[in-house]
Amino acid sequence: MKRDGALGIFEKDEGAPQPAEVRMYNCKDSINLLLEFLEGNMSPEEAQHLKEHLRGCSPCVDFLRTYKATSGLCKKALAAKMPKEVSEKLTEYLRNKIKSTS
Amino acid sequence: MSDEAAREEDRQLLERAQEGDVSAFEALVDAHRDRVYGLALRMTRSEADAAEITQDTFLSAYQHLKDFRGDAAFGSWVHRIAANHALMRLRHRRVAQAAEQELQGPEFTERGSLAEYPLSDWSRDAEEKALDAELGTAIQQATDQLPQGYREVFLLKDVDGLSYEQISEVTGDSIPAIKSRLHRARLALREAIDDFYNRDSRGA
Repeated sequence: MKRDGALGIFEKDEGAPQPAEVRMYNCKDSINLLLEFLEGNMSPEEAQHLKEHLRGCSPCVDFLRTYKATSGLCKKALAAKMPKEVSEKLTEYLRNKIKSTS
Repeated sequence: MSDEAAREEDRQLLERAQEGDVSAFEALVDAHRDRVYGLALRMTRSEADAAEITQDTFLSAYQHLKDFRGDAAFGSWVHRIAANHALMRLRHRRVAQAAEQELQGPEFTERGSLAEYPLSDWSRDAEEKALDAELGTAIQQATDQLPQGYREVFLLKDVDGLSYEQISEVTGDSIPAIKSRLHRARLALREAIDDFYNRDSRGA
């Protein structure tokens, strides 16, 4: 079953036979590794363990979605535009400096 | 204009500016001043400092224009200059730094499972909510409350788009240390946004 391809998880091996001794990750392990996972910097084995956990853990999938959304949301919220008068002062300042150095 | 077209326009303006065309340099300033000012304002939380950092940044860029070989985009180059100026200013403030406290992240049970469930999944309407002034204020406050080292890394990476290598050059921190701080900062900010949504959904 393909539950969420957009997150890059659940895309394969659904129902595949598991190794006899697989260390199962818990939520804490998974959340500690989210950055490396999203950047594709985990070892294949670690990534596999994480995907195994995410397959069966809705809270972690919700967490992953909101973790991913945080950066974009902050970027939009923190955008700043230079006030017009400051911009005019900047232009004047640079013109004077450039004139004096040339 | 697409990013690619903007970069090409920057490249052409840069060539003219390097040949002494002051109006071409002014056009580059016009194109990048808001991003530089925004970075400086976010890092220093002072409009006066941000204005001065923007001036210093573009003056430095002008003075070193001939040294810039165009290996990177002009925007990235000027961004790095701005980040350096902002960090220098922060260091010179000599404000006593509070010990960097443990950042708040999710709570886990003894077995390492998420303690609070169901979680709010606000990721789908995040774009729309970004326009919400109240949420913007909540994010600004949460960002301000991050310990300085975490705030710097978060702003430089997630808001201003610098690479880990560039951030390492600017801050002097190792890439693993930067990644660790970035992750902790994102967790803390996710938590703050989550609080906002939960409060909002309760109608508080």
